[in-house]
Amino acid sequence: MKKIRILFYSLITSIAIIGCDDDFLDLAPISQMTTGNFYQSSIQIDQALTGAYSDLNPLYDNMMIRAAIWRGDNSSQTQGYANNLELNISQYNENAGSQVSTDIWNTCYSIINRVNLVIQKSEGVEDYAQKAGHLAQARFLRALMYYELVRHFGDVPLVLNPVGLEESFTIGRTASAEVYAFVTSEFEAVSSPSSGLSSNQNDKGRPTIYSALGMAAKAYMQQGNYASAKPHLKSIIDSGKFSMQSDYAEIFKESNDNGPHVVFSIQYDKTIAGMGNAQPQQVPKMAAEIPLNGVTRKQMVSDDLWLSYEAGDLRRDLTIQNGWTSTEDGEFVPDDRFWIKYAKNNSPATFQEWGVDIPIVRYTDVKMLYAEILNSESYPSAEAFSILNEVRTRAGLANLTSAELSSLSSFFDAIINERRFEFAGESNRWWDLLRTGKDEAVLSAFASPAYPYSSVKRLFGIPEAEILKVNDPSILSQNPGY
Amino acid sequence: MKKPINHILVVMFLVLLPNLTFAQQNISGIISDESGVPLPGVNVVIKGTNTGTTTDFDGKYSINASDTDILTFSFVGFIDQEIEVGNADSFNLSLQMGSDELDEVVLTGYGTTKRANLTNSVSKLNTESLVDRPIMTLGEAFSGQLAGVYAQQSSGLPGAEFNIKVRGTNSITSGSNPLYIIDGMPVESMRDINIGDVESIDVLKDASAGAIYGARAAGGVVIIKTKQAKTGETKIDLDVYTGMEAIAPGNALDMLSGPEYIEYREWGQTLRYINDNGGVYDGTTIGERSNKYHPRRWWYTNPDDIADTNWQEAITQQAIRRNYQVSIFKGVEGGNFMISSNYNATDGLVVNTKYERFSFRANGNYKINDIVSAGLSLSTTVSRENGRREAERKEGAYMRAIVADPTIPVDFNHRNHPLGLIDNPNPVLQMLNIKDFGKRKRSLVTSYISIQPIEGLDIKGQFGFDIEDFTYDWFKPMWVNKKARREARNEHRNDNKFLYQLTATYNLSLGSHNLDFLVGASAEEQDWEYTFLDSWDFGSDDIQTFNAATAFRNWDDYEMEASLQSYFGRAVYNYDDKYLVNFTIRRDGSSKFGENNKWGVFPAASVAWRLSNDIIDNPNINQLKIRASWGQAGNDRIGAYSSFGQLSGSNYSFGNSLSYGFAPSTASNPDLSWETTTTQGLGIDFGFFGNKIYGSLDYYKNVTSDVLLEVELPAVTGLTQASVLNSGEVENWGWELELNTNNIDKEDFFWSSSLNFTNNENKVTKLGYGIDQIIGTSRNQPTHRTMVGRPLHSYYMYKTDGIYSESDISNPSEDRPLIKNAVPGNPAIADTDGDGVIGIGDRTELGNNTPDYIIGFTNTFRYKNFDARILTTAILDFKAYWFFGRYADAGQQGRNQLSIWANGARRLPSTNGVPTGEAYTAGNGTFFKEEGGRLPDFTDRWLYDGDYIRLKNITIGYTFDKEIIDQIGMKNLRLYMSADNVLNSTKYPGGNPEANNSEVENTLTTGVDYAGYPLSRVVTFGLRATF
Repeated sequence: MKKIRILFYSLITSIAIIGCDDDFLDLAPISQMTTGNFYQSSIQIDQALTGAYSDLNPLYDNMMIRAAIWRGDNSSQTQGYANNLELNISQYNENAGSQVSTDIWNTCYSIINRVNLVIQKSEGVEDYAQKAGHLAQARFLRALMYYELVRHFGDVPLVLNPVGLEESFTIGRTASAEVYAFVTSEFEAVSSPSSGLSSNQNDKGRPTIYSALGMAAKAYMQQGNYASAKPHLKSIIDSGKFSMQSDYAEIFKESNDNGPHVVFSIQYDKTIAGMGNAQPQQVPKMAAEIPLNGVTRKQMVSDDLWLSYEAGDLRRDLTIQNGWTSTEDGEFVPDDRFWIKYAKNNSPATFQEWGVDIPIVRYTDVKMLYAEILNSESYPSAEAFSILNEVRTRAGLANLTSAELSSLSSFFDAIINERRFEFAGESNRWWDLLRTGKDEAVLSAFASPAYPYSSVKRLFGIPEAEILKVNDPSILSQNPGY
Repeated sequence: MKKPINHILVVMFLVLLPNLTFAQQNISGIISDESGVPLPGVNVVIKGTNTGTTTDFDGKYSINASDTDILTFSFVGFIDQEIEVGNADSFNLSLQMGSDELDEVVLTGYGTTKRANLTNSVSKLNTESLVDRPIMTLGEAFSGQLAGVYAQQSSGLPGAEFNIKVRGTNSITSGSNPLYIIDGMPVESMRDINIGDVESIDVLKDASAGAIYGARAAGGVVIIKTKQAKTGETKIDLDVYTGMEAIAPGNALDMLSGPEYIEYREWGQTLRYINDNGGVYDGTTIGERSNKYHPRRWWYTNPDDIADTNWQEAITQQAIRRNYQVSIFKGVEGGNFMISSNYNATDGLVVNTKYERFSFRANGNYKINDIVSAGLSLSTTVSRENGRREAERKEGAYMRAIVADPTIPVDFNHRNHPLGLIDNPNPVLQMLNIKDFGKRKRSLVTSYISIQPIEGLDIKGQFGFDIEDFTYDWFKPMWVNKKARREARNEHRNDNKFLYQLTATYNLSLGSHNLDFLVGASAEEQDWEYTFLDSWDFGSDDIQTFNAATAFRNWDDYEMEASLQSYFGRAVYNYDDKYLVNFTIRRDGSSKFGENNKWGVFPAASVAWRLSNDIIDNPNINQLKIRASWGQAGNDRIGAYSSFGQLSGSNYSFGNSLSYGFAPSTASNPDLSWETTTTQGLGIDFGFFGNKIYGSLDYYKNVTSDVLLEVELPAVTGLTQASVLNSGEVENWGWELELNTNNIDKEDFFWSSSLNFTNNENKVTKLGYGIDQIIGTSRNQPTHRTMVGRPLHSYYMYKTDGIYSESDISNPSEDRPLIKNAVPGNPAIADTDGDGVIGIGDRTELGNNTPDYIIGFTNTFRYKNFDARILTTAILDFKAYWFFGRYADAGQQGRNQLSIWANGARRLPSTNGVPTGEAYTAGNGTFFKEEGGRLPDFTDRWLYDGDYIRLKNITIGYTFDKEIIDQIGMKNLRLYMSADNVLNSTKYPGGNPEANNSEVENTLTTGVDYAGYPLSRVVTFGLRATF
């Protein structure tokens, strides 16, 4: 009797305990979406893609463009903000712990991860009209990031899927040639109208097929592969959808954002807090000429650049301000030169929120690269001269003819030099020096003996934090010289 | 979400079935004390069984037993008696008074055991030893009371929680706090629990004892039981005390007075003048020099405005502490009821700081028949705190007051003083004018119904909740400081926790074999809600609520949920009180863990051998027991959603048209699980000479594996925010002694001592993921290091090596490299890596903030009606970083300095009439005076031995004779005086070596003192009456 009773109660107790629901422990975050429950619909894929675009803003107005400018001969080696971060880049003595390396690396991989998630997760979403377009944009962004990584750091980890926690400690560097091959093949893959990218001149900041062609060409040019770049540049020119602005000042006006002179640009919007362009703020704090003033002078123009402009070059004063008037005492501070390109004809919402976009590929760039290729094929090339002079005319300068540029190499030197002034304050100069192999000669002459240039600085250091995290040189090694 | 066992109650009623009785003979009798007064509530139990009863109001009992049974009579405060039944049918006994601590009952989680039969490591804190002490935060009760338990007081702020650590720190970046069980309800904190309601506190110290609480018990388990009426007891307790607080010894810092400060600053400017003057002292006075060399221009333009303010006095106040408690106890046949109410108001030492608590409690248990009993425990508390954040936070009002310019008057206001606007508010006005008010309500309720359908089986269903609601208001009116704006913040937090639990215990006795079984299941649900608003847009100082705000600057609102589901069991085998074996197991499933690792199993086993009941038969050895234990417990202290890859808003504007986007911000970690602490322990319990000497000795080793570690992931994951991973291993080991002696026990005089000694050490044995070391930073500079083979959270700083001599500076050598801008007399930094320069490689490990030894020593005396208790604590072998030295002891010119910087201690002038300053001895060595700005922020210059010995409490009381108070209708009347923090001996200059108010709450940088809220010495007078 007693035993039966015990059994009976044990049974009841067990029933009570067993009656648990399996989902009791499955609690998803209430105030946040998760990688597990997002990416379920076309709208969410689109939003995840927007999330990938989002990091382009800090990358290009705050990290990347300036890294390239500091490195070249357009930036002062001695004047600047007290923080040595920036000067160290132009003095060729930054170490691998530099915030510049870290920020670029981290942000590029952040975007790559977001894109990889979009690509992977979209497989589980039923087909919808814009799906191909979304995927093509995602691939474009990923290729753009690898293009930036490979030209900054050389060999880099090439990850094409979301990376697991354990796995992340085991991923090594892929040879730069392989990364470049991936970059160009991806840009080319999305450069046909069937890829889903727009065939219009612009798609409001989303890449078009012309953006893809332009980026593919730039990636080939960076490797010195003129032959592969040429047809892509020609396709852009032949499309007839683009034109250079007739007035150099118009190029950097907010009102001309996404105009026919732009092949691809990073979008900034000053009307929304946190989404403005901070690049133009790098001006003297008290400068009366600058709307709302800047914050600091992190980056000053080199004397070499200022003095190298030809007399009458309209671009000089649209790019550089020489001296400034203090709002405090009205005094003029001479010979203090800073970039004014993005600030000159625009007005910000707050001192670090400007609306002007940052162009990545300008049509002028496309044409000048094309001229460079034509010249390399046969000298003299009338079309190459015509492009060079179109640029010079807009700058208020006299045409150059085969009389002045009497050889293939003198034309080559002239167009590379012209690019220095045309794109001053944008990021092209440093990359031009590298791809043409002029860096050693030009920068050795430019650099002061105190801060000599060394060719090991062609690559930035792999962020020290990454090296320390992986903590195994056989997996993640450092670039020489760091 | 469905509640898994919400049908417990249904089940409970299903088992309401008639009881079985067994035909046995009936034994009855009356139990009284030595003087013949009947004792109600005496436990009468058939030895080796659960069968028993208690005596009624008249001391009567009645029980069915067979003639071979042995009856055990026990009552708190009396020595147990055993009697074999035999043929008798009646026993009238008188129990002898006496404390037999070995027979005290210990709470072990879902059950109890007698201390003598304990197989693992549990310490008991009887609140009797805390009686009359003005304890306002329950954590304070732990100070110096239990071996293996460290109660760290990092702030003297009234109401501030103590940091309780049981057997050291197991985790590297996660919390190691114990789990608290209040009347059966697992909760996260003891906040606002009124000590006046607490009867006992048991601490399950090892993972073997804690395993019954599974995934949360690795930091130890603190089981708190609140007061209940004893059977037959009817009384009203009144406890009233009031006291005064003053700054505790060593907590006041001796700073420069107004005139001294002026002289000091002028000296500094003279040095500067001489320096600018090519090193030549031209004999000018300060007034003759350009006002560029006037330390504060207004001193010379408005000398009448110069004050001599002691800011430290100005920021502190005469603080009063008051406590009133009324408790009503009623014990009836089969039940007991208690209600109490308490009001505690404690002023802080800092002006306008205050902690106030109103609490109410009701406990009741009733056994309506032999089968069914039920009970509840209900408490509700409202506490209010004023001025907490303004006073306590880093660089808060108290800290700034100490270094404030003493020439500024206390009522300084920029509008009536030549100094004009300053950035930082006058600290006194800051405390008086800024609204800084927090209000918390907490209700903790548990209830149960228990059914004993058959002999030995007890099925118990329990339900409980702990809800906490906190609101906080902060308002800075216009012109408190230079910033011409009003600022306001409003926070609201709501935390709820619910428990559903079903347990069954079964006791089986077969002769000398005694078996106890426990099985149980529980489910817990938790939710949190948090909102805050922040605005700078208020039109007036008069209305400070957010209806008056015109815009918000910042806001947040989030909700979280967590759930825990558990099954647990225990089997205890006791052979004739000689051999004891204990097995427990718990299986916990937690929503916090990743989907691949939701469930964990935590086993434990322990054995004990009571030699004194077996092979030792010596009247002087009353108890000798050896025990060995092994067990595993977990730590689940991670965020509710740490295993999820969470997305946050991440937008982009295409052609100036905003698109909403989302992007991952944290890593998804489906493998995330608890960290596991495995204990191996050995212990001896002893009692000699009629238990005049008794105690226990323990040795343990804890290995914590799969440590919850914040790891920075490689950027290829796309995420740079640190993620919590299970990685690494930490070892803790140490030994503990609890020793109690009854030194003198005469009729008029009694003296007993109680000593507890704790040793704990730790080291990291593995970090994993290729991590060699983890650096903790303060102010973006490394201050702490955790590395494999070394103790956790070690200080990692530059080491000083005497001072630079004239020749060190004039003839620099690689053997003695210089710091930047060094001058003779500056502290020299040791070139520990020997590379000939002072660089980051010269940082070195310099000890840690975890004490290796903790001692508590209590002496209790009783002489006639007087009694006294003296508690001394010693916390030894740890370092403390007095960051505040950087502000007040570095010869800085902009802040007031310690008085040792005054004129008298300085050499003036030295060679060539140039006042270069003088070496003086302070802190860790001999230093030149004007070092400000040159020395790196973190050196051993302000790293001190934190060791202290403290006369923590003296309590003296007088208890009136019963005959006298009988006449005024009282059962008991007692007057007492209690003094806390009476004396303190330490080399630490900052007052409280346990202060820890580093920039962020960060376990990696433990032990950085920015001049924390001072400790107080409290002297209270009280009255305790029982009616």
